[in-house]
Amino acid sequence: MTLDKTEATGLSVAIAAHIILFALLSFQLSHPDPHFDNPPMAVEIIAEAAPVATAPEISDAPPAARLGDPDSDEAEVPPPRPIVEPPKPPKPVMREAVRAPRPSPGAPPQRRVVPTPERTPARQTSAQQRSATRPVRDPRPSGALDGIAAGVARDARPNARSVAPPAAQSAAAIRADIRVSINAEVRGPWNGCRVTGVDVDQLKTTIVFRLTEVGGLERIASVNTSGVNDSNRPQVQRFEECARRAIQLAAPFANLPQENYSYWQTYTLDFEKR
Amino acid sequence: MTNRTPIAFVIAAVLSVLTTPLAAQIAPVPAPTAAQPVTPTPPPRETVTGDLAQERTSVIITTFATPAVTATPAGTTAVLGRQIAEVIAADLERSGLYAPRGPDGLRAISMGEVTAPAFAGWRGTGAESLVHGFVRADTAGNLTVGCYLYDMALGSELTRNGFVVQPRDWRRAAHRCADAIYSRLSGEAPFFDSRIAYIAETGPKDARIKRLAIMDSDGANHRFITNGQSIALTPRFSPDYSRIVYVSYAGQRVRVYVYDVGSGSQRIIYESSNTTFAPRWSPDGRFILFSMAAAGNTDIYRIPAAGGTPRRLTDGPGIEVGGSYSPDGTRIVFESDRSGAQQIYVMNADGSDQQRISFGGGRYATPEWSPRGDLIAFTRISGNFRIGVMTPSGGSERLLTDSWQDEAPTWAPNGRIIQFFRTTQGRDGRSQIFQVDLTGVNLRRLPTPVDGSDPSWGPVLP
Repeated sequence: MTLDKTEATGLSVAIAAHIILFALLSFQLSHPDPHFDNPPMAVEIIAEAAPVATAPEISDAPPAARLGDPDSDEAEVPPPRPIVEPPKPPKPVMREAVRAPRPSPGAPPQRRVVPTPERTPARQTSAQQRSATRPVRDPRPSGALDGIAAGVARDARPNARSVAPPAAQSAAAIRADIRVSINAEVRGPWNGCRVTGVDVDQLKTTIVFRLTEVGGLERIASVNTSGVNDSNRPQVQRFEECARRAIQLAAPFANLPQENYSYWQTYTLDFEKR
Repeated sequence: MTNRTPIAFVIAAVLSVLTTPLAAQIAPVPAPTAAQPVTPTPPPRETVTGDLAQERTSVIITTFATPAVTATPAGTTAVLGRQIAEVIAADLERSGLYAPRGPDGLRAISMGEVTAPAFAGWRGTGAESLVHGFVRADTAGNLTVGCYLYDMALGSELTRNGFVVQPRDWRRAAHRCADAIYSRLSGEAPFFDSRIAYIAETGPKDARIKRLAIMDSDGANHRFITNGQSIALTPRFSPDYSRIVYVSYAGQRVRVYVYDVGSGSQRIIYESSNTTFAPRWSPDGRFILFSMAAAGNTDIYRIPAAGGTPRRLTDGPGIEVGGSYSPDGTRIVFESDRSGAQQIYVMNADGSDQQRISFGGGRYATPEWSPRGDLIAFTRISGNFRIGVMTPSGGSERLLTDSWQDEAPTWAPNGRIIQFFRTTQGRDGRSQIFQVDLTGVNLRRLPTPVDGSDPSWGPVLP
């Protein structure tokens, strides 16, 4: 069977097209760095002290703005021209593991028992204090080495896998953060309330309590103790009192994500001493 | 055309296969979803673990205020206010659970502060609890002592108590106040307002003078009951504190005496030439147990507290001694060597259902049932003499002391502290009264004017 002219031409065109296609594909596949418009991310708890590893916003700002210090008032003042949109408040690139300052031992304890009516101002105060403690530097990208060093240090996060900009938190991560936050607050007053006696280490008091939206203690719903025997029975009442007291002294709980209020509105703590 | 179709199809298929992965690679990855509310499953629950090994709880105790400085037979109310605070501080410190501060070095408080403390000022001390109080003398000559315990962090009142006493009993008011504070903070029953009977010992070991003596739980108000002409041993307070039973050796005669604390008189409830020892009251005060060696066999007997014919409760071939009632009066713990070495047994109050509960090496002696009922204290003899506790079924044995010779445990009325006496080695060795917390901490000597042995801690004073 011989090819006629038309078929020969068609076959030639097909072969040529294959060669071109093969060359193109070889070039594409050998490209070392395929581009991802929106790469995946990984969220990891950086430290136990981090109350909320909130997903940061992907910043549109150039790297210099992230590496440098917070914009100064001078930089925030726009040039005298009509403002189409109100300038957005600068969002933190990564929320730092900073807790609201604990009250000093001399502070009246009643303040802690009563739920804080407003939570947002406290956060602002905390942020302002944080800003106020920073050293004053030239806000503009001046190429100063100290600014660069600070920026590099800030980017060198311990979580090496979080090379991509973090996005949203998983449900498990939020649960873990709330646990860290509430546990750390309660453990101090729980440890400070002494209960001693034979077999006290076998007691476990379970308290179910409800929180207000701003993290204050709404009420203690139930208190139950297990592990009671003849030797530790005298300590049960004090054991329960100490557990209840620890929650009262620890409240209001700061840094609980309000968007997940339905999750932590009712909380259960098991108290034990080992 | 029928031949071309397959070729075109092959080309199209090849192109399709080769280009599809590329398209997939450059297609945008679905953006991660924004933060969404967490579904509340499972409900949030976590464990808060505290540390049992903690420092003592710090308690501030100020001098008790007085509305008007009044002279009383025991001193002015201002002086009593300071002394009462000092006794409370000493009691709490001796318990081993608290680190009291004051009244020395602390400012005096006004009467108004007793019920409305200036928490802000005291919080700087870092103490967890605050004790205020007052002393007032009324026209009838009585003292009213009020004491208040506050939680410093919460700024709340934990307990308040008031006691009306004769001025001479001001120490009892202080002990009652310390008891109220101790009970509120520890959960334990009170024990400071109680007395201890013991055997005061003087002279060389081979010619020892042994006298019956009593004192308050802190060593105050000490007095001798017997004069030392006969040897007194193993005293025990009756449950209502009105009487003390003890054994007296005079020549060849052995007598079981009951001493009436109120009248100072005593009478013999049993006398024998047989060796008789270790009397114990029944919880209702109607009977007394004792051990007696008769016809070559030592057994446990029960006799009415007013005297009468003893009834033998054990009849085994071994030596059975040291019966001690359970708090409900239904069981008796004792020691017996029927297995070849002294071990601990329990039986019903009528002597039936005898069961061995100790199985450790060495020997066990002087079992004493806790007034709380949960534990039995004993002397463990294995090389040294050591004080230990176990449950009435023989489990959870723990040794609390480790010295050359610790023996004869007696319980504090709340079952939290064990008192015993410690003898040191050698001809010049001394016998002294010690106590230790049930958790094995806070071992300390109880100060007595002379050497002491056979302590017996009575119940809380009525």
